[in-house]
Amino acid sequence: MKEQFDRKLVEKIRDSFLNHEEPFNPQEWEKLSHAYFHPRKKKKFAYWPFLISGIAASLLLVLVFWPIGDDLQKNVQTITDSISIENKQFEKAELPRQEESENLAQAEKNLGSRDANKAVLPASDSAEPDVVQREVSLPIQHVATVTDQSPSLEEMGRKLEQSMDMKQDIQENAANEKIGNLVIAQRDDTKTAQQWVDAWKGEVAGAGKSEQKESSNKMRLGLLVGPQTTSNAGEGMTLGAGIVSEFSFNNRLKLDVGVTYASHSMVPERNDALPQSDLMSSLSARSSFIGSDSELNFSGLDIPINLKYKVMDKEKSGLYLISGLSSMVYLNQKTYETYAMNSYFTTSTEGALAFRQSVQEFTHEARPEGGADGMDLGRMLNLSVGYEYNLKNGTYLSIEPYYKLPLGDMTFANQQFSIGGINFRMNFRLGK
Amino acid sequence: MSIALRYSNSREEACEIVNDSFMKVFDKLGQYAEENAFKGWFRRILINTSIDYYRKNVKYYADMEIEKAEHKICDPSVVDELSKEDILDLLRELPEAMRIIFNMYEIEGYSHQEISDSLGIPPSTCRTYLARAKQKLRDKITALNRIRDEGAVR
Repeated sequence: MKEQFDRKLVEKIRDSFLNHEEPFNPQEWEKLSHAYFHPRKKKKFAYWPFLISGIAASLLLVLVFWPIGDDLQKNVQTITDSISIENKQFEKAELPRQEESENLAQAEKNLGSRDANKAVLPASDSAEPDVVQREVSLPIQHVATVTDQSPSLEEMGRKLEQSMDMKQDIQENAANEKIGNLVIAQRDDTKTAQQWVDAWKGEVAGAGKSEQKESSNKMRLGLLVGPQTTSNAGEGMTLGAGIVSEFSFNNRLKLDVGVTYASHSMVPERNDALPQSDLMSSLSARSSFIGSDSELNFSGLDIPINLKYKVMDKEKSGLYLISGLSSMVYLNQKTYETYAMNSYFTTSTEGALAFRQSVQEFTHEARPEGGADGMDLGRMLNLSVGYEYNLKNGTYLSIEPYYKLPLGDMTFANQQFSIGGINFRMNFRLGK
Repeated sequence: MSIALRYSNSREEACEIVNDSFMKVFDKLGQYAEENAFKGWFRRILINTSIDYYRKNVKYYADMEIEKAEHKICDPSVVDELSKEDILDLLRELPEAMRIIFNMYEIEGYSHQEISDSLGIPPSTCRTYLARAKQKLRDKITALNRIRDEGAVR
């Protein structure tokens, strides 16, 4: 009896709703059309702020660090100078003139009987008060900075925005056109309606294929920042920052390109490769030459082109191996070479030549001539491991320890150094 | 719409399910295979959307009290007097899980295994819920019939 009742109830329900139709409700149609035609705009607004803020942050970093780099260098120079002029008996010295050089040679002859070691002893051993003189020679070679020739980040960002806008507009217009055609096709004639449905289905299938194609070319834009250091003993930790974009070949293999900015200051390890002036060569040949220090400063744009291979793929995280080549664009590169020499004579205020032992310092600043050596293509080999964590909505956070090996001489001073550090990177997915 | 009405708690909810189903149809039309009936494909989408709707709204899973089975035997003829509105009201008075299982098993013809896969519950629970749903429907129809009879006598 119970089973019979249930069977009858089921049949009743089936029969009741077999041909059931609800009356047309325009409000529901409005809802549906609104939901179908307008959702993409929401997605558009979801990632644009990230893109714009990313580009703005990158530009801000460049604008902030660029002038500060110069100021810092000037400050260091000022501090060095102030240490030198703390002595009250500091006097301005000019470059040794020709006649003074002759006098100096004569004096050296006269003093030939003196102990040679005494001549190179620090000035504090002398009975006379110390005089430390410092002289900065004019830059021997002047160059136009590489900045004017490098591509503007703002311009690159603007082009990217324009291309994304065009893509969105084309997709929306195509979708609106298809649906518009469908609305017109709503007629009672079943055959015509069927033809429309078939045609529409074909179009949507085609669009689906193209969407799949697009989705396979998913692009991600990222910001990275992280500490780095070079293998050079004279350089400590610096901060690098930049933007990177990632193009997927497939689920595991990706192309990683970008640009990062960092400022370096190091002690050249190959002094023979440094640019030298004739004046400095003649100074260093003299017997009064004590020694020299050199320093290489430059700001660099590192443009890596890497391949990322995902070795471990989990739902929320992944582990990557990254390798590729880096090209370097150098901005504001210069070397400072400071020579110290013994001086035995000085000119008093009355103009008389007086014997006074002191140490003179000459600094030679050199820059690349005419923008030469401003770029090294593929000069560093990148090796890195990256751990990526999916936060939400296509936002990824990565930690990438890396090491860059030199493949040849770099900078206009022809130095070789490797760079190591950790990048903290945030990627934002573009597109659907 | 009739499918969504049977699975939903109200007409508004049914409209939302239908709208969502149409969205899915438009988006996935490329995946539709021509050798299959469009009606069957669309029906499946509607049912899946109804289940998704149920899943979205279920925040807590709790066992329901086991009711004592009534042994009162119903008269099958009372079913004939039910209107569409009565049936919808009866179905909507069922707890959501029971309503879905009843619809899927009895009306759509899914197996217990398929239902348990869809809802993420064991097949034994599915059978229990179905039995309870039937029992509740029987009780409610009997009660409805009794009210009508009393009204007719007065």
